[in-house]
Amino acid sequence: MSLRDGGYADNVLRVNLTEGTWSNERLDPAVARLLLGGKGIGAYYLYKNSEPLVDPLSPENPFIFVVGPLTGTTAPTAGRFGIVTKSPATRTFLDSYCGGFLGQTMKFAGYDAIIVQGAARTPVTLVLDNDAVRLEDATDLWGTTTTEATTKLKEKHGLGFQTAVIGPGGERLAPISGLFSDERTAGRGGAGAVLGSKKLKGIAIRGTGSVKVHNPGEFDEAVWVAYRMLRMSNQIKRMNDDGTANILGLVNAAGALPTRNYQEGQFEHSNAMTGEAWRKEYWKRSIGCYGCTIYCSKIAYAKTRDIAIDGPDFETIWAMGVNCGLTDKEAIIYSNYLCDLYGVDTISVGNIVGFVMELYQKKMIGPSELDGVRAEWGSGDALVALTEKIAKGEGIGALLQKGVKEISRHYPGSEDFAMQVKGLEMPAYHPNAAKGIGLSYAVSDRGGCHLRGSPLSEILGGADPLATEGKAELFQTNQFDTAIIDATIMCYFVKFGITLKEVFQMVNPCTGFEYKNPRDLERVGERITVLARLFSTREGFTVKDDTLPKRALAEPLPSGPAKGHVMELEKLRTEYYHLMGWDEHGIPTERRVADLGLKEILD
Amino acid sequence: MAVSPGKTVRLNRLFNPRDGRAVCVAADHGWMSDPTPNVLELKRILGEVARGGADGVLVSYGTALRMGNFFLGKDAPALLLRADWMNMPRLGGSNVSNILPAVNFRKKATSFAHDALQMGASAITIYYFIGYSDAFEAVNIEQAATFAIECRKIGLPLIIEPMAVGGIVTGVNVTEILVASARIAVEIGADALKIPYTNDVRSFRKLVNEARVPVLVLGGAKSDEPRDALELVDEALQAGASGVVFGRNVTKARDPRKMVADICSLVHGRQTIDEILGVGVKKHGRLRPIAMNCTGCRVCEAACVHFHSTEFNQEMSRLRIEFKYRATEPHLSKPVVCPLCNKCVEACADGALKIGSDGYLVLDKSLCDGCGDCVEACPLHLMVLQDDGTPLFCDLCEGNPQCILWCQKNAIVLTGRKGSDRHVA
Repeated sequence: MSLRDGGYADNVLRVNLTEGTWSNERLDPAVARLLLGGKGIGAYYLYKNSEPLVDPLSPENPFIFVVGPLTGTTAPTAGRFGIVTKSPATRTFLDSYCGGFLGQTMKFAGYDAIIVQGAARTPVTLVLDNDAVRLEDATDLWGTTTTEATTKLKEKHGLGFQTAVIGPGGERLAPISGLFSDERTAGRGGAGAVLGSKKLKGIAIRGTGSVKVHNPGEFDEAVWVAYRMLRMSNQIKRMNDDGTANILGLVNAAGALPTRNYQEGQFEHSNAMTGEAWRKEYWKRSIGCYGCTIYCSKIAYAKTRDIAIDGPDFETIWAMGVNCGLTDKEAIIYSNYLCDLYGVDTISVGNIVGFVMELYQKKMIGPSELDGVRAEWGSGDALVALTEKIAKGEGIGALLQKGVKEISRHYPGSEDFAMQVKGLEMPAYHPNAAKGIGLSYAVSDRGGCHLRGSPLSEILGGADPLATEGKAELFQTNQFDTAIIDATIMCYFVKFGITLKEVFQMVNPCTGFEYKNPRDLERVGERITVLARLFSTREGFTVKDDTLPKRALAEPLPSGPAKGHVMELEKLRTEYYHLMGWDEHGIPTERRVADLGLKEILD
Repeated sequence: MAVSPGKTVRLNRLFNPRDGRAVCVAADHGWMSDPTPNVLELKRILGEVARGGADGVLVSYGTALRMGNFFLGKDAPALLLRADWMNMPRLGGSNVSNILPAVNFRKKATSFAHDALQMGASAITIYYFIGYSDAFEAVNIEQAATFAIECRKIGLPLIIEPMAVGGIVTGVNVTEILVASARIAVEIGADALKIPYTNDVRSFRKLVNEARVPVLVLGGAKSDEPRDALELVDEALQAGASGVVFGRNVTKARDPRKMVADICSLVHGRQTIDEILGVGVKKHGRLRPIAMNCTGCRVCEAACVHFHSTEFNQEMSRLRIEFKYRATEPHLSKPVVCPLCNKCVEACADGALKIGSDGYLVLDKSLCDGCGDCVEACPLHLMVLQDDGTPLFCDLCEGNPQCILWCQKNAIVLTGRKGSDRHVA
């Protein structure tokens, strides 16, 4: 039974940008079975193809595109791709996933992974026409926005090609820059900067091949059940109707919606920011990524600016709206638009603007240092002005684009409220009001992130968000589940309708690997999580980095359902390490690494 | 020792003595969630449900008082009374444009079993939550045991509804927890169970076998496709379930009477699911796109390819999603589908390509000379000449168009012969 008959392309492309050469190699079946694909094989190739402590913006940092065994099949949302590399923002493990239409095309073109190493001397685009590989001169694209670059690539190569490009933010090596594929993005952690340092403007792929699965009959049945469960899910229906912003009211009701740079957990104008409010005033229609029936994406049209975007999503509405004390929807749409054009992450940008507004509030920074901008809470003009500077890296934007951790170095005392972990800005859930999420921010493999196992269920009725009992285990389970989703590569949101059992029911007939039960698949999730951790450990990260800013640890929330609460990190972190079988420094023990079968493939 | 005579008589009021099965409708959502239409129009809906032939209807004490007339008479549905309250829907997930969001999970008994008996109930139903937390589980067990004791004394059947939510419940253990909860509920004294489907026949069969009392599968959130509810019922019956308790999938349906009638037909063995859904009956008509509904997800293309092949790709699709990029309208898309315009048929000099008696294109390979004239003649460029010389064309999936089946936004419909649209269920 070959990998080719089990959902895989059984082919990995290795590109050396320095030499301008490339080669193809097979996928190791042992690696596929142990790590499944996507995040799993990405982490593997990153670990094996880099030395410790390389500069993330150096040619020695590999940049890996990945897909999973389900990619290209009829499994729900199976058109995504991922990227794995070392982050210039956190200087540790980075993985990021993107919807749109590139993923399945990459698989149909015949690639499970594309490892990009070295750096080109002048700007290039990597063009893959099935197995025909070309590095094309991209001088005419360098400096263009993501939209312009995408349009030009599609005009040049034809609509059969799918693309992913960086914007000026990535070219400028901003640690908040991302990779953009049509309207979707692998936004967080500075993926754009890594490609910018390699002078790789983007990738264009056409794929006319096919994907086979091991047992099509059983696979099709499992896929149909998965789609049915998505149709019968209330939470999915809410995504459909009100987009990702459908949870804003809930998060606010739990007192966990960070307001004005996490000073509070509830926003007095939250009603203006709910999905329902946006739907009534701004959504024009829903759009979907490849193979997706969740349609969380909404097209919003801003009348006063005459622009339309895919968005804004919940995190952007929070970061640029609630976090800045704003309700100006047109300003939020326009700021989202600027971030998309210039290729930077809206969550980080919004978090940065909120941080600047608090510095302004505390008179630690004034209009003169901000090129005249009056960074007052609730000011849509300030949001737009600062976003434009950050997106373009102009004026004060040159500093601000470096992220709140770096900015806080220039303003002593402000580290306490620079809401980031390991250099990645925190997202839309307050760690003081949701203890499981607080733990996940501190310990997640890529820093302050809500998509690497954060138990959002604790705010959505699955547990008492303020309790600590059982949270370490809840996070751990979520972390493994999410790692599997990121390995098959499906969309995170399928978890609102199906469980690991349904994923298992698709993975087995797809790959033919014969995992005996969902527990076996959970083991794969643990293995991937530990592998990412080993990378981080090799970079010198320990328990001292698994921490939170002082506002989370020692500043009780002043009001709301979580009034008086701080994040009890130490207790939960210790419990989590214990559950994982790691030592008190947060390092996986040799015994645990061997038990997981990682030793053989890493040595 | 046998089950008490009182319980036996009342259970047989609910479960049809001929096949031991029951179709129940849950209409008790009013006291746990916001007043959605299915709650406000309960009178009309109950009337339709009764006309559909439901064997039992689950309501709250207040509804039983005011709408008791629905339960009168030999052919009327049996009255099932909800004897406890819980606030899980308000915790999150469901109705949360909520006036009353809840932060803490609570469950309280709200009736005595003898009250239900006085109302004329044939059974009471109570929740049993497992997995959320130790303390909450203990509360649930104690309440269940109290009801069981009372029900035993007065001969009233007890239906327990185990639910595995929150806390330690994960995708890895949810099925095992549900199976265990079924057993525990019976040990406490349940005479029947109302329980979620585990989403595969094998594990649900295990649950049914270990329970050893009648198991009614519950429906959960409503799908926009009526066939989903029916498929779920069919699978549960295959696993040995004794029937269903469906709430929102019936009360929020466009036609509650038909939904109940179809489920009754399936459960009581009058029709197979294929007969109810018309599977195998070829659908006639022409594909028509409704562009403004299209989200560009291309599930239709993927389904089209895979229906005709065991493989998956983007090339062999017989329809196409076209995208337009405009600055103020990113990602505009529309389906381009075969309208059966007949131009390919006319172009075929050998008469190999025809529209057959079932109303879709068929190719007689023995007459095809691989000239490709049909492909060139297609005004929408939907046809492709394959390696073996024969054309790739839309065959309406031989009367069961998959693009329509998989599209959830109604972006492709089947136009009837007289030009009227009929959405294929």
